[in-house]
Amino acid sequence: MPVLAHRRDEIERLCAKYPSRRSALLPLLWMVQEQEGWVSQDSMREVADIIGCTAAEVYEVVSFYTMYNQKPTGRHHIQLCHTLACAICGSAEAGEYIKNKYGFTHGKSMSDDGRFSIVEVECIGACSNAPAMLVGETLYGDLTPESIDSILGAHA
Amino acid sequence: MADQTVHPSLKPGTEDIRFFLNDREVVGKKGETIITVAAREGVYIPHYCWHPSLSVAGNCRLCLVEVHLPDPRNPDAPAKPAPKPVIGCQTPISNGLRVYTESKVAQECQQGMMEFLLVNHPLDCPICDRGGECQLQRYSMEYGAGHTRMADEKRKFHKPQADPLIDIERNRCIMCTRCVRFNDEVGGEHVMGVFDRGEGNYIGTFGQGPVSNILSGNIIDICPVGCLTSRPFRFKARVWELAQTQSTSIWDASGAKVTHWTRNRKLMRTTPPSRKAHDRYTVNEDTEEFIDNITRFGSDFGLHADRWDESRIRIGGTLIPGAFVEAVRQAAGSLAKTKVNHGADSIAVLVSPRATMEEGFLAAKFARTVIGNDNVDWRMSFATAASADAASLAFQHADGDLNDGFSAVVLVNGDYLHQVPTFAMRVKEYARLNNKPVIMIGHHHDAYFSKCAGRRQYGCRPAETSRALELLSLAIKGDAAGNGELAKIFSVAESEVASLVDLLKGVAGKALLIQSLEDMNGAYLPSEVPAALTLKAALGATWKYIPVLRDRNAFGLYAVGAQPGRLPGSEEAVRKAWKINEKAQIPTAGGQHARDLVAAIEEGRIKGLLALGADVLYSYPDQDRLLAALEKLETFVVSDLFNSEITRRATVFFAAASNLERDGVMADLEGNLARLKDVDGPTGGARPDWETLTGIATMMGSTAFAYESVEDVFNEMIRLVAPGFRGSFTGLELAGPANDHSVQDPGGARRRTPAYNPGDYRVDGAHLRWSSEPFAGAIPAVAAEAPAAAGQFLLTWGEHVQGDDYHLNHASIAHLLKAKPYVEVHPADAATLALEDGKRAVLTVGTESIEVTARVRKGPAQGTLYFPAGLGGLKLTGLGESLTAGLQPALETELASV
Repeated sequence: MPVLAHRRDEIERLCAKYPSRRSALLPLLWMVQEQEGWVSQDSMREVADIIGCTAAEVYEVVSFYTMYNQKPTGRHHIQLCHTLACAICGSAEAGEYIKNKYGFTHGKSMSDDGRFSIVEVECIGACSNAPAMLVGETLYGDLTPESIDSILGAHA
Repeated sequence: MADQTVHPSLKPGTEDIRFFLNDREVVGKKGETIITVAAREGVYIPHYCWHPSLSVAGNCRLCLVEVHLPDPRNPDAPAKPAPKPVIGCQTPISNGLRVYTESKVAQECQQGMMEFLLVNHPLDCPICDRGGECQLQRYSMEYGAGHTRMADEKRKFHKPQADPLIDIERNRCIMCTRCVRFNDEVGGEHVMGVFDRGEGNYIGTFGQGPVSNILSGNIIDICPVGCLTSRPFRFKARVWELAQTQSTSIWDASGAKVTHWTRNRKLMRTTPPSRKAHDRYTVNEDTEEFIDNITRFGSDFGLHADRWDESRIRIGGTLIPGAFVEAVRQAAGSLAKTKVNHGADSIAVLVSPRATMEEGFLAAKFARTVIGNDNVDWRMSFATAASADAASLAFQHADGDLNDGFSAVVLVNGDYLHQVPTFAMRVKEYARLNNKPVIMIGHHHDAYFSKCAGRRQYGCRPAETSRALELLSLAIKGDAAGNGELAKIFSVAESEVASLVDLLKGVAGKALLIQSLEDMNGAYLPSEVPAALTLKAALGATWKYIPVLRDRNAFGLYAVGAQPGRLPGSEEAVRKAWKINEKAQIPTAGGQHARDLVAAIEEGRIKGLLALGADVLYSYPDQDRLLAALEKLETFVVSDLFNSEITRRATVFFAAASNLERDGVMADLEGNLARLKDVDGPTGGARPDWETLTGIATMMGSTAFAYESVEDVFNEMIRLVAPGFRGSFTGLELAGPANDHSVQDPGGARRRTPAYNPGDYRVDGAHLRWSSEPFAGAIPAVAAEAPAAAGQFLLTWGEHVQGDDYHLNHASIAHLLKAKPYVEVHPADAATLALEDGKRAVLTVGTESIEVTARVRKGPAQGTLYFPAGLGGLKLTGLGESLTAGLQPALETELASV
């Protein structure tokens, strides 16, 4: 199913900004991800058609950048930092807590009700409030089991 | 990805650059890289990612060399070592540069890079299919350290089964990206890619799909390691156990040369002639050494279970195996009887378009001297006899050669990639790398050329092609009156037509006009060929002409006179060679056209038929009608490989020699000769056709067929066909120019190749007394096209080499080689139908319908569809008349089941 069909005008405005349509690849993929939460193979084909290249070329880019999700995400996508500062301040414990709470395991990163999905990421620039995580686009720091309960509880 | 438009080794400037290679002063051209000059100077620099036919990637780092740079302010001071070594494949040469390829630094670099490349590469050569012809293995011996310091576990990938023909084993990949670049640049589409990053880097296809193009098999050859291997050949044999025979493709009319690798006479694999395509190290070599997948994987049809390797004679209702001599006697007897009973004109001789020139020559001689008529032909698949004659007119004016290069090319119609794959590849690569204009005119354009920057497309309806060419030639001669009509035909602005005319007029130097004779079985050829030749005459003498036909040896058979109205040489020479006395007439008129043969049999005019190869009969579009006609023959002698519907109707069957069992010469589209070489003689009771014909002719009383070998036939033939031919039959055994100095046979012994001068083996128009006069004939008018009913499209088609084919049907992996049916739709029509590229659709022609994949592209003109005939079993029995077809998107439910 085409996911960008209703945004043709926006896409054309975007492509017009660049000397070649292929240059619009990264922003187009962001459009898909913001709308769908992830970039599926079908949408990679769609993007390829829009900018005039092959799906393999799009996949080369998608697989290079880890910030493009290649799997469906939950309604709220948790990005937990595990870089040095957060690791020292207990991101592993925080991660363990979230995983136990929602039944995430290795290979299963989405809760059964589709409410949360989780991924461990590199530094998100919130070292002063380590350990930190992003839920959607909102930053939360100084995580404790209690604060995690209240933060995630507020996301339905 | 590296710059794809400029290939450093092919884009040298003119300015001389003097520099030092291992302390020896050498001269190169400005813009050349170190490795290209080194290759020319015979200095070997190890390399993986660099390949003479591909763009420069610079990512394997094995070609690191030490360089010393002169001080620009003080040229007299000694050159100073550069702080770091540089890669030879991407570094341009400069004046005074000192390059050291074998110094301590260079050696340490090579050793270090080898160690890095082997960090994750399994060290299990004995169980790898590439063992024995692996570049990694060889460099490991020559440049590696000989031991490993890698103690940790190696990276492992899962193994996808993406392609039915090509095995991908990512653990062995060294990320040279040659396969990615090959598909992108030569294959035509970026179907393979480098995915993920860092240590997780791997090559593959999107969604693990197949590498679906007709040239994909070449990535097996260019892979320097054991990552990409041939699935049909995998673990079947070790390369050093195999015998090699240089031969030529019987599928590809481009004249692709091949090496057959056999063990105990059994074909194990077929590759391009360079035994190690991955290890080529020559400069400015074009892409000639790539072959198509049909040639590579389909050449083993002679091993099919349906092969009949004994002669058979009809006794009562069945074909009983018998001795060759007995069959010869029987065939000669029945043909003589038919001749006596019904006259000489009641017998026809058919030759397969895949017959060698010698076989065609003997067939022509047999018909003219033994039977005494002009009924010899090979052109069964044409729409009409008139279109077959138009094709002959095209051959008569053929004078182009791709090896000469071109400054512009005009392509008239044609699905070139799927008709003459390696020819199309060479045209495209030359145009792309040298940035030459590619002008496509006609009702179908090959999407393969879309990577050429200088591409221009002018689409029109099939019936309008000849008018468009005619108007264009008038415009070039200065008569701009037709420009308005031309603009209307092409559906473009008049200024666009004027710019096309200016472009064509402004072409300096050699240029090529290439015309496909294949589309719609040549229905419009009677006016298209004269129109194209008129255009060529208008363009001037620097324009050369190449007609393109899918039939492998069409040009050769035309040359040897295996068709009505044509003798292999001047009448005088033929009379002398064939020992015909001066009073006797050599029949050269009133011959039976193959295309009308079925009608002639039905009307009882033809009673006896001698067919060399059943494939020529199989190429007739209406097989049911053909088979019924064959039943009516009094004598049907056929020499063929297989037990098939056609051969079962024979009165005498000769077991023919397969492509690996016979010897002879074939000509390609450009008139270059290549030798089809037998591996080790025929199997069982099979006999090559020249022996069969010699036998029958002698048995029928002729004394002019006293040949002892096929070389005798060749010598007689070539003296007539090309009196200026300077080469020899054995010289043709060399399938191509002697290859690179670095390649060794797997057995270890370096093969000595005698000097080969391609010019010696070229049969050109001058030799054949062909017309060098500009064409000045009339262009017959084309009947107006009947308007298609609402919702209907005009169907255009062309034969596809991966379609229904008598020989290909018998290849061991024919089911993998056949292309899936598809139809090309113009984007505007696709929008009306709400059809997207790659979606399933139902094509309906008459009462038959077939599910196809829609390919949305500006190949066919608007309002027309292009269907590669022979795919998916859809019979287009009304070939020659204009056909209309309906197209509907397949239903969603059907979609789900696909």
